[in-house]
Amino acid sequence: MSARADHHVALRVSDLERSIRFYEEALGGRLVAAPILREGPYIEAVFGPGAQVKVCHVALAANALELWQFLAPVVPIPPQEQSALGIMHFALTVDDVPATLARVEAAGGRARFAVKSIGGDSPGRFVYCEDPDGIVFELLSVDHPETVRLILAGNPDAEVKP
Amino acid sequence: MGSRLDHHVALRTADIDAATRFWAAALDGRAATPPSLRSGGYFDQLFGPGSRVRISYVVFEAGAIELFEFVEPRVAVPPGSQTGDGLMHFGVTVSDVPAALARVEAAGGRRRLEVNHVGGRADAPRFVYCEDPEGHVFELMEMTRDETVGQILKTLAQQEEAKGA
Repeated sequence: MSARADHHVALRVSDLERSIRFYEEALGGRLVAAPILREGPYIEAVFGPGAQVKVCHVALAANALELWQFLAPVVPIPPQEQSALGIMHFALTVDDVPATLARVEAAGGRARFAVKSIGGDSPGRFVYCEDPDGIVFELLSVDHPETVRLILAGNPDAEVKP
Repeated sequence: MGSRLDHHVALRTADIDAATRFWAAALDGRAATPPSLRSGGYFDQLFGPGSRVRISYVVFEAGAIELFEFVEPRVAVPPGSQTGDGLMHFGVTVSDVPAALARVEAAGGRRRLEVNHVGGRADAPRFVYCEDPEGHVFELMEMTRDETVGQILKTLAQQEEAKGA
């Protein structure tokens, strides 16, 4: 088996209950493992001495979010400037970008700019959003293979040479 | 359809050619689009006026990594800090963690700690946290998402039972 990069994306959040509600309401997520407190030798090996976290899983139609709230150390969530971050954003495929964006906004998130056309011959739309902590995610109405097709159609230099 | 969170995860890299090679080699991925320069139009809105980026996609059996190298603005890629970042890591399902880790290391990545068994039980699936050559954190696991959730729920039930006993 080749690797499957669809196990989960882990987010550090400042208020676990607020984030669970947001991802349930905004993206139709389902809380499948409720928050549990984790501490002790393994957690300290991963996150440093004294680390204490609450962690839970929110499943989506594919993949999942692993949401972490640190009780120690408590560090503010940094501003999410994509041109300065290491992991920049995560992306979701949805049926209807404007309808999903409306749910995102109703749940306390916001769009980073207006909904755009993906271009080419596609009716596809996309938009960058942020969650209540400012973490960036992208909504697209085309799946990944179709996205690649559109990129190649619009950018002949993006063809991969064997 | 519900929201599918398997379109891609985006990483910012200092060297997109090296990063594209790394992810293809380390996780047996395929460079679906090689690095191409993008600027103007909505990129100014996305990343600030005058921004110029090179972008590539590496695809896997499921999911994809979108790699960005910023030509402008050029900001050093910070080392991944799970206790300081918003986006902490992403999880990858593989059939054999030590074998996958060996490929990661051969491609220039490294592990953040030893390979562990879930729950510390020798018969349980294995997992390990790794980082790529620039310090982006990812996790290799011998479980699917649903198996992980099942495992967590089982552990919680056992803890409840132990409390009651």
